[in-house]
Amino acid sequence: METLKDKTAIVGIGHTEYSRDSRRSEMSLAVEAIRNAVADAGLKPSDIDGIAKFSMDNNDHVFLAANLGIPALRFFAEAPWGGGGGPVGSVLLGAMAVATGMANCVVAFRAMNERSGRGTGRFGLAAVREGAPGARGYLEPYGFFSPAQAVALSARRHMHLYGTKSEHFGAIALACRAHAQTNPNAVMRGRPLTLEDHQTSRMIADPLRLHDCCLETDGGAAVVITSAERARDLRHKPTYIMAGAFGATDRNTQAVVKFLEHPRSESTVVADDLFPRAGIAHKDIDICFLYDHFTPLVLMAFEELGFCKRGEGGPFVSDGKLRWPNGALPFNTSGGNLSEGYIHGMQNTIEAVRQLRGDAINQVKDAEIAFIASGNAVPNTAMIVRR
Amino acid sequence: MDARSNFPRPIPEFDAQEFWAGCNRGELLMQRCTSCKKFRWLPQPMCPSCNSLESEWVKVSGKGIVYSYTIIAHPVHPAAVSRVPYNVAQVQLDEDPQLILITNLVGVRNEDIRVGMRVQVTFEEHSPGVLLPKFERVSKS
Ligand SMILES: [Zn+2]
Repeated sequence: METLKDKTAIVGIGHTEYSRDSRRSEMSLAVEAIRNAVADAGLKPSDIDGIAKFSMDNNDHVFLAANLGIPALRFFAEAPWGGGGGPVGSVLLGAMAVATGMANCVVAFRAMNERSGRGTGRFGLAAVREGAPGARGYLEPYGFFSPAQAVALSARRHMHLYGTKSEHFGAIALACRAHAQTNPNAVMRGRPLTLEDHQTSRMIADPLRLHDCCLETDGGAAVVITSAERARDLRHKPTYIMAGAFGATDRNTQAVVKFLEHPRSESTVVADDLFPRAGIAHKDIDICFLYDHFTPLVLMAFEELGFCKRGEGGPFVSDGKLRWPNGALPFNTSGGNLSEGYIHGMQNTIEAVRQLRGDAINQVKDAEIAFIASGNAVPNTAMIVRR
Repeated sequence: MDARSNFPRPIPEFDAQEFWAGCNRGELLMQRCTSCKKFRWLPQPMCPSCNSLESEWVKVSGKGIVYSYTIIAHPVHPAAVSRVPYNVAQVQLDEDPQLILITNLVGVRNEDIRVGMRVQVTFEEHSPGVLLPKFERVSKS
């Protein structure tokens, strides 16, 4: 059977300023990020004939194509579950379209006013309504609304089962914050974080503290995907997509509940498929990008993706393992969702491309292969890319 | 009622009407497959184990343990502002380890909550005509 391996490449990356209040429309953020990504590839917007987006993105494919001046849009698709399916899933949808000849050149993007709520309302705030339908009816009557609250339950259970400490969560926050200090586009540049800051930050949902939670950010990020053949004639060294995977399990019937005792997670599903498809092993990964919406889920993702054993995530992330330049497994080197800006994970793919091109700010020496996973604890997508 | 003054009330839908009707009678009912006898939660139309579409509603003991919990400090809903810090817990019912309900623990101080604590269902009025299953600590005596 034919596979996706090395048939497509990411050839352009682009983004807007990441901020807490863009004072612009979400369409404006989308078109600027896309225009920048297309220009980075050495292409024009009219060269794009496919758009893959997050299902929760408010920008419509077709209106966007009209604004970009795309004369014939041949492919449009969307990946669900935001930070799970979205960031890598939208890129993979584009890659599949290109690999099968449905489109020549696809842009995948995320653009939103998540923090300011300008135009479409602030993302992530609990809806004020009298009735909760469907699965929400089992949650909201109890005052249970936010992803942070759900993650707190998983974090508490992990601590109970394995002796995981808040300081382990802190190691993840500190790595991202340290990486953001050299990144001019990072929202948290100029605001270094110590373990004491982390441990004394205000409680959001015990045991989750403020610094265990990603930023809410306004901004846009986009990447351009085309065939490996065409990529060779473009401006930059291509970032080849070696393999991709989507995954969800049967533990999601309760929407927010993650059974730590369940033998498989969304992350284990993608890892089981991804490494054989790429033909490499965990030890071949030079740099990794995990979806850092909340620190406990990063720790659990390392376990579930097979980078360490279940229950050993705490010790695994400690001792500077994730920190550039000396850590054994540099992670989210531009600051990630926790400290660069929460563009729902798209910015991690952009940073992976920079690292493999060799022009990242916190450049990992001789980085050849990068691993990029979207959210843990929700239906998940992941890919392995190489230079 | 002003939607900001209380948390949303459950809107029972097709697959869940029996559950909520049971609560309003003070009974905790769980859906069980009539074919393979496996419990399931949330209520849903098909048995994931044997794919039967037939199910029955069984009154369960309401006994279980605290599987996990959080003490919510940051209010994300207007009705939470006057209530923080408040607990949200997962309770795992004795009948089946897959039956893990989101709930509130009542009659126990937040600082006394522990994973593994034995609890028993009780029903509290959310709003007129709507009873919610919550859980109270089972005394050691
Ligand atoms: Zn059955």
